[in-house]
Amino acid sequence: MSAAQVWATLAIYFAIGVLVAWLSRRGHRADMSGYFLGQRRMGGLVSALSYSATTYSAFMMVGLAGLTYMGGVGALGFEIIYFAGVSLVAIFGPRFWRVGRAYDFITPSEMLGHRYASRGVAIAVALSSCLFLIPYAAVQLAGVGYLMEGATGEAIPFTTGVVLATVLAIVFSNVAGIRSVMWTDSLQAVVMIVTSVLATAWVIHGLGGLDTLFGELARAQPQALAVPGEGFFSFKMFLGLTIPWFFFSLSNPQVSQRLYMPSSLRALRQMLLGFLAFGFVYTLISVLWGFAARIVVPDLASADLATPALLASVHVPPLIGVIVIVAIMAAAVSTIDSILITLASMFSRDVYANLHAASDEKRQLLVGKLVIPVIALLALAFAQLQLNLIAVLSVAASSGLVVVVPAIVGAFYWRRGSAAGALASIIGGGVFVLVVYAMGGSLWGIPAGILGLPVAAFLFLLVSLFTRAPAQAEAFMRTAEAG
Amino acid sequence: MSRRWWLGIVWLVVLLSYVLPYTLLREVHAWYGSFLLWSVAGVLVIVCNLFATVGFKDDAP
Repeated sequence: MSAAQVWATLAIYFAIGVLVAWLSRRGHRADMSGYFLGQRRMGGLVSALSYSATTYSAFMMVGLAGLTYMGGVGALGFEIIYFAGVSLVAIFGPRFWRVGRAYDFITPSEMLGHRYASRGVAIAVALSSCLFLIPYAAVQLAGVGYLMEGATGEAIPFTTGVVLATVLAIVFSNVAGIRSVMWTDSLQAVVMIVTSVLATAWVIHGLGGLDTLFGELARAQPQALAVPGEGFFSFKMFLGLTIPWFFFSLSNPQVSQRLYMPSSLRALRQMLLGFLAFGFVYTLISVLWGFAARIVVPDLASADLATPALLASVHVPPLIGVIVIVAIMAAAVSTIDSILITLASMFSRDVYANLHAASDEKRQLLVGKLVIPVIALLALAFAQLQLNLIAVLSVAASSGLVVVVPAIVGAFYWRRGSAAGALASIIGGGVFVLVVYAMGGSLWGIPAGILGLPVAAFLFLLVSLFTRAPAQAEAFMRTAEAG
Repeated sequence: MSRRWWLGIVWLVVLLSYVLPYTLLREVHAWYGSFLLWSVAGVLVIVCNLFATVGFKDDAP
């Protein structure tokens, strides 16, 4: 495919995206709830599509396909266990939704700060989210850069791809806050699913159908169809990958904040079920894409090259290849803009407002808006620098964010959960995960992904037992339960 | 059946998704091995969530 084809398709995508973002301004209200939560009036379908586009990033068609290329069917198991973990929304979703309305919470960190009667808890959750999610966003940007560069034979350089994705993410999040993010997300979700299904079906049809694909895998690479198979997906590795991701819907604020936004519990249900339908198809497609790469372009030096190599092969017509590249970029941008808007809301509401007690909503909103491009530029700088530290932080992101889960569960289910316990688990657990990653990613042979959650839970329980829980815990829990 | 019951099935599906591929299906090198098991697990998760959230009305779950 030529750079001109990619540029033309990108221009169309950009134009439609900006138009949708602009149209989403209708009904927009410029206050904190309006800018960051869409006034808690988002419908089920848009919520579902946006939740899907936010959750599923460039990781799917590049990373998960690469994981399938490298480790076989275990990649499907990893993603399905994450997928099952989203069922936690059926338990916690209504609770988030009710307390969000009752107390006018804007961010999950603000909610925890209130429940534990501690500004420190709110600030700690907000800062740890920034620490892990900015590098995560940076890796998404870098992914776009590499994909563009690889698929166009370096006609579109790495930096151009990275800058383009950053600009798009800033535009989509700045036009009307979460409204423009959710409406452009919805568009991007449709592009992601339609193009990936089309491209995968095309490639598999070209190979002779699913029968031939699986027949060829069973004949030439039988280990790809079982675990541990060729060895990558040892049970320990599988546990280390799946445990933090199982709790993604609670631990990642860019998705847990979505639980405040649906207009009703009925819309929340539509969001959950719509996401599950989308996710199931997208997961299967990404894994089949990875299997197809195993047949079409075997023996690549790196699994990261699986998708670019398959796109550049004769099995993918240039037009479809170009559209898939834009769809992967859409997947990355739709994740990054949601991270931007969530981190901006956390910074303004939980860090700035807690340190400047006199700040009013107007001021907080202004700070939030100003912070969006700052976070985006930080992610851009990290993506450009390609520091080792950034790579460590992004790999540690899922394990680092999961340490907030005991404090979230405790907020709703354990009256005795205290601020000191929450702080100990979030700070102690986060530091523990970072240290283990700095030491190589495992302790006594056990991956950090397995250890982070139990360490955080232990700290939360132990410290809470010896400290006093806030008086307002009772009222918070009653509000969450009240139906 | 209650929400708790349907979510209980989800957790059972998750447990089996860990256990079966590494035991019973370890040597099944075909589409009807782990690939099919995890695909069916995905469908079951959707069905269980469908029923678990039936009571999500405008006022209460």
